[in-house]
Amino acid sequence: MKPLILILIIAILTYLFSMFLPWWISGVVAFIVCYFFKPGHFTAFTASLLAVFGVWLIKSYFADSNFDIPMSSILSKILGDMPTSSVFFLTGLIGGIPAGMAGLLGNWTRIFSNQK
Amino acid sequence: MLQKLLYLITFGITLLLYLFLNGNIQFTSDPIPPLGKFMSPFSGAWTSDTRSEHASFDLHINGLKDKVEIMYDEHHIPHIFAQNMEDALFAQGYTDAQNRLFQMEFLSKLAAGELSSFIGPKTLNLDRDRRRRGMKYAAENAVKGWENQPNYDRLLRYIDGINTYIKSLHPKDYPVEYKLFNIHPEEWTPLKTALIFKQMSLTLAGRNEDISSTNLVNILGKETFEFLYPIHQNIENAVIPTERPYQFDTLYGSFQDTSGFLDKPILKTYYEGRAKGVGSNSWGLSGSKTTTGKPIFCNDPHLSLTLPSIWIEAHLRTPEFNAYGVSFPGFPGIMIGFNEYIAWGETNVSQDVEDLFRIDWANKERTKYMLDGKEQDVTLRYEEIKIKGQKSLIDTIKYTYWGPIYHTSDDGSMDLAMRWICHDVPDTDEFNTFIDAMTCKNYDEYLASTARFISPAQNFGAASKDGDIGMRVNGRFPAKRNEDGRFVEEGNNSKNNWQDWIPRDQNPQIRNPERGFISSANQVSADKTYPYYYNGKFERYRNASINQKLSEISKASPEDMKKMQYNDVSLKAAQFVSMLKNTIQSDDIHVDLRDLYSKLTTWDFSYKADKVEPIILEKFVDTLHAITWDEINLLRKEMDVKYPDDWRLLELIENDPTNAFFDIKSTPKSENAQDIVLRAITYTLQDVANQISKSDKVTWGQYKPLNIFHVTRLPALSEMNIPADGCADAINATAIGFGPSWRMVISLEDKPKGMGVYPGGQSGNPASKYYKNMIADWLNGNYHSLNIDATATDLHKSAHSIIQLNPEK
Repeated sequence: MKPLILILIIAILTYLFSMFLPWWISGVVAFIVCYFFKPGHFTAFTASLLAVFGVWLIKSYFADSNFDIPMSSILSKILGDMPTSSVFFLTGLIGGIPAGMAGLLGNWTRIFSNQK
Repeated sequence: MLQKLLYLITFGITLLLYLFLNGNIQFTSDPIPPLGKFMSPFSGAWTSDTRSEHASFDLHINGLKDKVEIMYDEHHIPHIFAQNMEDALFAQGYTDAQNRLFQMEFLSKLAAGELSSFIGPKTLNLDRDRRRRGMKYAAENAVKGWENQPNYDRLLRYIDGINTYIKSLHPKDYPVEYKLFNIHPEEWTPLKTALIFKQMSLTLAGRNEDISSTNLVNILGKETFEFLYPIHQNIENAVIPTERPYQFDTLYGSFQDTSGFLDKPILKTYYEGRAKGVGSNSWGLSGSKTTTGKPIFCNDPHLSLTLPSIWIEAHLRTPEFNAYGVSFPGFPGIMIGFNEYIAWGETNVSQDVEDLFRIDWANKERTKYMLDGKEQDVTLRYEEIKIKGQKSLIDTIKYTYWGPIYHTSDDGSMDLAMRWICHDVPDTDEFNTFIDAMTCKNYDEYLASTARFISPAQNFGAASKDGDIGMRVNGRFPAKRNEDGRFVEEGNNSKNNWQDWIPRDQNPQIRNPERGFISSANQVSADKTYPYYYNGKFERYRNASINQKLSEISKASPEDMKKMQYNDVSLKAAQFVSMLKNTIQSDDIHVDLRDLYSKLTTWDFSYKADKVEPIILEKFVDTLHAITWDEINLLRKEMDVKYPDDWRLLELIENDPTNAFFDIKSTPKSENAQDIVLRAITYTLQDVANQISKSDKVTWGQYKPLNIFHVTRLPALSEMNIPADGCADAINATAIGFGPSWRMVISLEDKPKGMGVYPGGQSGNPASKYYKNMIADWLNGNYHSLNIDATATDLHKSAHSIIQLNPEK
């Protein structure tokens, strides 16, 4: 399976389920998708990370304008005066890194369960 | 095998990562936010309920009697149009929650001593203090009393409004602070409203100087103590001037005499002093002194300045009444405001209604104590303080006849119980005071409506468009005998307790005085001729400035009153500078410091943010106290003490310059007042000159900037280091974290007009444009008009959010 398609599938499912399920659902999505699509360790990790990173980054970018004063400027202060633009990047990473781990685990779990 | 091991390690790390990001595990003692949950753009900080800022919607409410419309104007002030009181209060509860939910939750937990449950060990000492003080006990007692009152249903309607809003929230809608601390809104209860009320009682009536006074009277002797710390001031502008001699029989005749106070000092205590700055101004002019020929009423309470502000503005209108003003979020009604007939407000009375008694233990375990010759059991109250990330702490608080034991010494020799008026079960519907005030049509009705108020006692002032102005020292006061409650007393004799309450008609009060104004600024309630003894911590300078200005006024406009509220001249500064000029010659000052000295002596005593003179004055007064009272200062290591008041020091310098206190113990020379003053001013000028040589930014605004902290004190949500005009002794009483928390001027014309401002904004959402939008206006002395005439038709066109509440069929 092409990594790009994998990224797309994880991103779409993450977006859909996150509308009504807790934040960690992106990890469950990455795990299950990588379990069934057999992407290999490296691809599983990077595709899951990039997919969720992208969804969280873009979504937070649009959510920023839900408020009169950009939420990113408030968050940048709460998070210790980081530049406002890097708040979006950090949001992406906080979503992406654990999802990457979950994707990797999904792939790995399939390998082990096939060995048995 | 290695593969499996690696797999398991990866699995473990991932699991831990998720649990950490979800807030289930902590690696530090100070909790950090659940970053995954918090930063999620789908449900974290990036989302919260902002409907009141742009959306209009309809709701169907069970229990609503009739239709209600809520409309938010351009300042985000809710205008509530209801058909009856109960529905109006429901809507007020709904809008308070809509704008200030986290603040309300936080304040109730602060009062209850439950902050550590979500903040962690950082707030443990604060929580312990609240538990020891019996704050929750006081709130529980309040609810016990309130429940039996006829108008309790009104409070319940308000609370229903809060809960209706809470229930409408999905976790993604919670205010950002809930997400930061990983908590969720809990159901609102009468207890929580009582807790907020008790938190305010603590600020206003939760203080005493019993310990420092007891220590000083023992160390200095009664005569010197009285000399330095007289109960009454030499010059007094009592809140209620004595127009004719008091002619009532006091309750004293029925009292039994009692023993005195402790005969030894109390070493090392927990008691913390009160920050200078809490206070208030309020005054009213009769029509004879105004340009309109109708009364003007003004009020500016100086409470802690926070974000969100402790006040929230609202307009409530039904066919029976039309009221506008401010209240505490979490408490129904209008505390300071006006309707179509009267305007009303409060300042703190500052009398001491919190006394300490030493417990005489009857057994080693300290479970039994002596009272009137008999052994009594203490009642134990177990306080479990939950601490985020740690095991709970159980504190057992002992309750006695007097109240909870607040101070404990290791050996039990000085266990002090607290008798605090705010612990009592109320026998009136005091919660209804500010609900009922909205409906008053004249001053008599206002007096009747506020007669139910118990504590924290306030000077309740009002003016009506019929032309009345009046003020009553209002609340419940113990009829104290001479010096009761001034010192720590023995707790083994119940006769040391307050024996009765002063009947309300014997509280000092005044109506339409000849001088044409009423005023109060936390000074003494009445002069020495008032038949009852009282003590407390009373203001000296602000009230004198106000009364002087009001006496001089011939015709004032509301605009003049607005300027007066913003006045930053300090009478204290004027008196200290005048003393300086009389005591020393400018030749006495070192030639390098003379320029700076002449700045001080030619100053107009205004505390402007860009001036240096206020720094010199404040440092000079502090230094003068420290050098003069070196004897008292030496005691600080061992016990709680206090300096005499500023005015007393000034008086001593002027009238008794060779008093032994002016001698500095650590020098061989024998100093007098002149030596001390010269020493203090030279030291101060040198100090300020040094600072100026290092930086060109030595200004009052930089030296004592104003901080408006978020209730959690998170710097990111606070507004800090604001250079501001004013000081605690000026009418514009800004002082670090305190200041005029609401400025209001009401002209009682045929159609009353009002203006007001507070340093914050209506919304509690830090990302709202209404979070701190009024700070700039407040800083510059600008007000907005209080639009009591707003009609539903007008607002339909201009409101940014319209909420229709309909009864459920």
